Amino acid sequence: MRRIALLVAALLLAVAAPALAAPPRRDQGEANLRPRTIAVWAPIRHYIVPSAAPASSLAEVSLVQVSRALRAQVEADPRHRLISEEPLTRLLSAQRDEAQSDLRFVATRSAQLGVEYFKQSDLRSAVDQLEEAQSLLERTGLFWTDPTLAVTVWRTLALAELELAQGAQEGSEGQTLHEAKATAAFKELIRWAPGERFSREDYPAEVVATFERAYLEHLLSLGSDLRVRTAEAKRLATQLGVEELVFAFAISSSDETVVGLQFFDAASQQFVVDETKRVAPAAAADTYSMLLSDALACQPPRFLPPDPAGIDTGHTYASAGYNGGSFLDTPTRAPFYTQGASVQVSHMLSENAGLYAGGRFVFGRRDTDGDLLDRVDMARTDFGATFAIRNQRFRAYGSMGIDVAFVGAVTATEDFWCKVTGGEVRAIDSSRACRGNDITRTAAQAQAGLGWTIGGQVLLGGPFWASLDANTAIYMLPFGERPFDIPMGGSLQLGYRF
Amino acid sequence: MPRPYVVLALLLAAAGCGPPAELIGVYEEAAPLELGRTRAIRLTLFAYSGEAGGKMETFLLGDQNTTEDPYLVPEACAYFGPRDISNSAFALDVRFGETPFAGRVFDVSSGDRAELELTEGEALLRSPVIPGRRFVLVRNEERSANDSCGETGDALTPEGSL
Repeated sequence: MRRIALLVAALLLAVAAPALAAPPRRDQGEANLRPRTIAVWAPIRHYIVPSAAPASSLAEVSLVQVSRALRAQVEADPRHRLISEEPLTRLLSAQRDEAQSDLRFVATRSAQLGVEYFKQSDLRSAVDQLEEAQSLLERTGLFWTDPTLAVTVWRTLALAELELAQGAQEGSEGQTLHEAKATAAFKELIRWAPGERFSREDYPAEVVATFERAYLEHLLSLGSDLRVRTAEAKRLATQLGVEELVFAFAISSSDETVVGLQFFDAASQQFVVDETKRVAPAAAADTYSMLLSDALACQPPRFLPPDPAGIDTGHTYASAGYNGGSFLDTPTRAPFYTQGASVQVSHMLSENAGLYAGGRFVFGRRDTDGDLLDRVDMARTDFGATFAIRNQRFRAYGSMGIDVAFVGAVTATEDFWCKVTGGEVRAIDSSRACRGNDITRTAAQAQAGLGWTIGGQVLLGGPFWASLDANTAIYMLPFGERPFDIPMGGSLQLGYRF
Repeated sequence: MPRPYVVLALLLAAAGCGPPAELIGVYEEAAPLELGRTRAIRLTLFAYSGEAGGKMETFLLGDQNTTEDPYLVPEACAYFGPRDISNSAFALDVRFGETPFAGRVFDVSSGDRAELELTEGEALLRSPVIPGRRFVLVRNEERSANDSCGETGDALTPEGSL
């Protein structure tokens, strides 16, 4: 009866396993793909030419709306997965490692020294220190997480260069060079701080004029120097862990607005869209939307393949560990336990199905009644088909196949005096004896049948998995007496996914 | 990662696969024996899964076996059991030829000692008859349990013949 119940259970498992392993999907191909991760840099920088009337420019509040609209537009596209709403600068700061913190300290120190030298009118030393600070900040991408530092560096550098220009001989090459450097510094200052201003009340006319010229150059060049550079986009995408990044900016004068949109693809390491358009301020929002639509449409029409770490097809799982078990059919009255080691290897031919082979090498300790006169050693090997379902962290599997067991010689008895004589058939006295028919003896033999395993795995980290399974088998060969049948066991294993 | 209780359950299962609850040993009274004793006894016990049996040897005290060194030359050997062990005790029932010897062995499961309380055949040991008296038998670790009586028969020697 017990055998029939097990057989029915086994058949049900065999029938249900494929269905469990591979639930029907409408589009198997689509299920194996995943959306790209994307971030939209916010806030959108708005550069308003100092001479422009505030009322005529794109209002700050509308840029916030545009920023939200861009995010919503990306979010609506199922091929992309927008990363968290958390401000990106905070994400970047959180990922700042110790080395970056050290560099930041050095950069900050150089900037402070530069400012001090500038206040003491030691302009050359100031420029040296500020250029050092600027180089460090640029190299580490710290401008993106600490714009305040950027403003200090670029503003002081621009002012120092201007003073050097004023101190140089009129019309000399040195004067031209320092003026150019001052303009370049102002342009960088504007890039990081669109709202920075130099009023005629506070600064000399030359400073205000140079700063406004720098702003105008940005407008005339349609913001070519305001764009995010490829190296910067690469670093940001890596730090944020995204595959695509969207940057937008706007430059407004009294009568026109230039909107720019950059779409960086980390896979190709380049901007797939990098466009600016001169538009009327009222049309800015629509232009952004149009540019972003173009950018999204330019992307490959499908999702990316799933994360390689999540694909099982073609991969092999190998594991080894402890195996413990017992048999439902034994020549002993008390349960007979086995312990030992087990190994298992499965190779996935598809996401849900593959082949497996396993081995269990166990020894059976004597039963608690002492019916077994000697230890029985066994080796079980099984091979067949395996079915699995998994997500990123958990994996469930079921296997079915041929189970071959090699069972060592068995000597068992329930007779007291046979236990005393250690299985030797002889008379003890006139009324006591160990008789031959009181002992069950089986030579070492191989037996074969069907085996099943069901188990679960949990990802420990990297390619390492821990697994726990339960296994059983029903032996059919050889026909006739088999001392041990229907093993029931479990394994706790540590595995590696190749 | 498997939860700790899963691992614990497996370890407990493994611990449950212990060796058989068997006891095999040779038990003797500690020398010197009391004055007035005529024989010393030795029990070789075999206990498996709630049953105990074995052999009992007697040693007639005299010139060869003395109270100080009583276990040199066996006099008689007979088998007993198997009998059920209950509360760590079992009934002992041996016949040396026509002479019955009965009692109860206690404290079997302790392993290193056993106590024998006689109900019949006390005269065999010629020991003062005290109802409920128990003879303490100590396990002799140096002697391995042998299930054979060998050449020793089960007949007792008439006292004084040696």
